[in-house]
Amino acid sequence: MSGDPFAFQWIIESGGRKHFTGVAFHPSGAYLAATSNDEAVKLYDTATWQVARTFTWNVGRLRSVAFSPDGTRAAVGSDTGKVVIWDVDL
Amino acid sequence: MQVLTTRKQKFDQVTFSPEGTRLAAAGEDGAYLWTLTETTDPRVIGRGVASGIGFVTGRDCLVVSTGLGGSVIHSLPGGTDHVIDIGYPVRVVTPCPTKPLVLLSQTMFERVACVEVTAAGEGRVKWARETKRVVSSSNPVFGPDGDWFARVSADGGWHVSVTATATGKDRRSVDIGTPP
Repeated sequence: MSGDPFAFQWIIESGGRKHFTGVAFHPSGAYLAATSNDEAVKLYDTATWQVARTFTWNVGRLRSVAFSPDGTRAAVGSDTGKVVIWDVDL
Repeated sequence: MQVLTTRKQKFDQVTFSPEGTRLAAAGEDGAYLWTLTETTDPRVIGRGVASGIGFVTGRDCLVVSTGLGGSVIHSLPGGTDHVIDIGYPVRVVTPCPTKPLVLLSQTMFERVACVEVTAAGEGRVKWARETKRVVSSSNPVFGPDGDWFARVSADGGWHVSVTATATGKDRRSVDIGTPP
């Protein structure tokens, strides 16, 4: 079995936001992106689990997030019919 | 930064294609597919609310689950659809990262099927199973080699289950307590 699915810990909380709506690991494994039903997507450093970057897009509440396979771009889906794509520049 | 705009609706899933030049989003009219190198309007796939989408590894196909039209395998070059009939509405589409397989599951994982997508873009059910209904369940997530997938469920406590992709049999399940 590759990796250990049981070797984990409770690592992040939604910071007062009600719940997470989407999460995605960066292909490098160095970051976890999370959306929480507001206009911000937060990138957590997986070495420290601290917030490394916050991107705020004024397109409504964010519902989903994904990284491109090469890790250079990310996309979020909103509740207003808009999708935002940007260069993450990590 | 690029903003892709449609009519007002929720996009509960977005995903890039394996080569990174296309983006799909699960919307209320079906799945939207944009070619990021072009400025043309997106292709809309399926009928009704699309709840799950996923590009199939090794196949130029997109699997879409919709409330009204069932699940379809959409061939990207030809634009043709093959319906996957597994007898229940699918909420979640989870592509295997290493093989042309997709998991089609319900919201609480009560039912799940593993479907192999052929080179012709047709779906063949490898296995299907039912599980005990729980209070809450996460979506399944594949391990890096695609040989297993895991999910978290809540039912009087939180559990992690790991299932073999080849057989659909649970390999291991552990109680992980409750989050802080």
